[in-house]
Amino acid sequence: MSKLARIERDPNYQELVRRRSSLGWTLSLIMLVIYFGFILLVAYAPKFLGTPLGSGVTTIGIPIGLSVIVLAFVLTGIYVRQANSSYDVLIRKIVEENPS
Amino acid sequence: MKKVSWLLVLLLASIPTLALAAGAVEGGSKQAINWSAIGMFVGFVGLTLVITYWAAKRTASAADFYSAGGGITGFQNGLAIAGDYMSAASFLGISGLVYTSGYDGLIYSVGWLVGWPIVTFLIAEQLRNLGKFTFADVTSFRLGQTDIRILAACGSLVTVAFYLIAQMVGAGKLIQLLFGLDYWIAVVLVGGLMMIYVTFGGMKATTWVQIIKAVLLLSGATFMAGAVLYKFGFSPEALFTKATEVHPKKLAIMEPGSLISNPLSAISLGLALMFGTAGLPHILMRFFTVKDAQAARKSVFYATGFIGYFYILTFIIGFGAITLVSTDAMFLDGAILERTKSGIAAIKGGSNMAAIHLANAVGGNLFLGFISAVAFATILAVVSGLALAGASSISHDLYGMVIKGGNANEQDEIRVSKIATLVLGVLAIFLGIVFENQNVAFMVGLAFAIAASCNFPVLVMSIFWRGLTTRGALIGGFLGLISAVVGVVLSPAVWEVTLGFAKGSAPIKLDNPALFSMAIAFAGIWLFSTLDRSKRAALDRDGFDAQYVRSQTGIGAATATTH
Repeated sequence: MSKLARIERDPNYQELVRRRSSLGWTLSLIMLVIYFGFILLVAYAPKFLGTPLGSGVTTIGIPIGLSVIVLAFVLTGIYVRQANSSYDVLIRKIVEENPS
Repeated sequence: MKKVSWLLVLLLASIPTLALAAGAVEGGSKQAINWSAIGMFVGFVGLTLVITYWAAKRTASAADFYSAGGGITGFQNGLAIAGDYMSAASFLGISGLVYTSGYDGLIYSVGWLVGWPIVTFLIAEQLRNLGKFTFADVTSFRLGQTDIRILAACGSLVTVAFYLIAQMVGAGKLIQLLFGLDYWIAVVLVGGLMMIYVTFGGMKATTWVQIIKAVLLLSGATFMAGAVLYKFGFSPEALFTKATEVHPKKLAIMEPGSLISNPLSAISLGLALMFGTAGLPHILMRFFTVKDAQAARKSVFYATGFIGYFYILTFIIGFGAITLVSTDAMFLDGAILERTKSGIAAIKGGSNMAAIHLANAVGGNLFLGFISAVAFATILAVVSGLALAGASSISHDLYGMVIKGGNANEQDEIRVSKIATLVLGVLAIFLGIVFENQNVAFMVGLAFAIAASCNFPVLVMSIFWRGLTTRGALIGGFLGLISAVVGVVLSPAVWEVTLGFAKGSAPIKLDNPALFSMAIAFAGIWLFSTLDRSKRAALDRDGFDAQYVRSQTGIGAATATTH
């Protein structure tokens, strides 16, 4: 059996691919929804974003816009945390179990 | 030792040029000579030349030249990526946009940031595992080398060219205003220094110049935003209240305004900003400067944090400028103020100068000098990164892989790369001067549209889709490239503003073509790959498994060189 086929059948590899793809694509989708949700609000409901918060001049659009920025960072953090704690462990196992 | 004397001569030569140029325009209508700015700028250039000298001694192999030997850490690379992205255009442009339109500036900031998570989730690690020097290493991993390298080189060079022209013209104008230098001297100075950094120091020097500049820019912006908030007792509400009182648009600056007029246009621009980020060659190249996939992933995380923080600062800076610059006669042009009665419209040097004047307002002349020098440093660092990406595409993709079929002598390849840098530098200076009086704002949008419609689709499909074939990538990629360029030419920004046709006559109503050019690229790639029954197509599909395993595990990936 070739090294390639061996790795592909390694349960660690299969787990790595499954977990990384599902998290990566899910987070990408969440980011797309958040961002295009924001853009659609800008395009179709600018007045909603212009609603004042309480009695001041700060509008609801300010925290919404800022939270898109913060969420982008947080989502990236979630991915990196997951990858650092579990994907790297799996990759190390795969490399150890499939010497060249 | 020849290199050392060269650098010293150039360094010494640049000082009298500055002084001479400064003297020549005294008494003119340009900004008064700012000696503290010039002093700090000369200090920065001196420091970067020392770094370039240091890097040049350590740059021997192709890996050193293209990817700094893979020895940059995740945190350093995060700063360098952020530095590449926080160009003078985004620092001065976004704060200027906030200054004139308020909330609309935030919409742009958000768009410019949200591409980064996508890069982290789908591209960064795979790129590091599969590639060596350029992103074409990844797209051509299992596909026909020649065709795909030519496509990638076209996509890279066109993107770099438009980005570079926009930066050069912006640089010339800005330096003219900041330092009182003539436009052409400013452009020649930027182009000349860029050529020195890249040819002598390669990626190592370019990266360190970028890191230093990122730290300076982040510190300067932090100080400015902090000073603004301090004046308002750290209450954003107080800042916004004052801004809505003095701005002619009043409360309208707190909500989306006229900038985004048509929903389709907004979505199209959003797509270009989000996915263009993931296709910019000078950014993608940075993932090869780190040790492994883990460092690549960490570096985007840091970069996202720095860039997001920076955009929040520019928002505060823009509002700070509304309250402190537009109300102070010192920063306003009396004649325009007389005519328009608006402090916003009357700002000296145009809205792009909002952040610069604010520096003076909160920190006096010395801090103004610091921010001016940082803005110049920013331009230098960004054009150097762009030039290196363009030169690598020519030497590694076209010369090394296409012309020499992958058998190029490493030293020859580096030499070609240096020659390419010089040619690009001269070309950038020439085009910068030619385009002096053109509106080049659309060029950055065009660069993003091409990156999103040619580089990104081919890259992401090559990483994730088994069915991709050489023919499909080639046809789809070029369709994306062509439709992006045509779409920009036929858009209102170019058709009506630059080419001067009647208002409303633009054949395509979208300011950015990404919505349809990306669709055309993906559809083309899918269709022509699926229909492809050639022998090459069978090889392309068979190669997917090995590529996928390597992209996931990094087994067999290029490793860092040690010194």
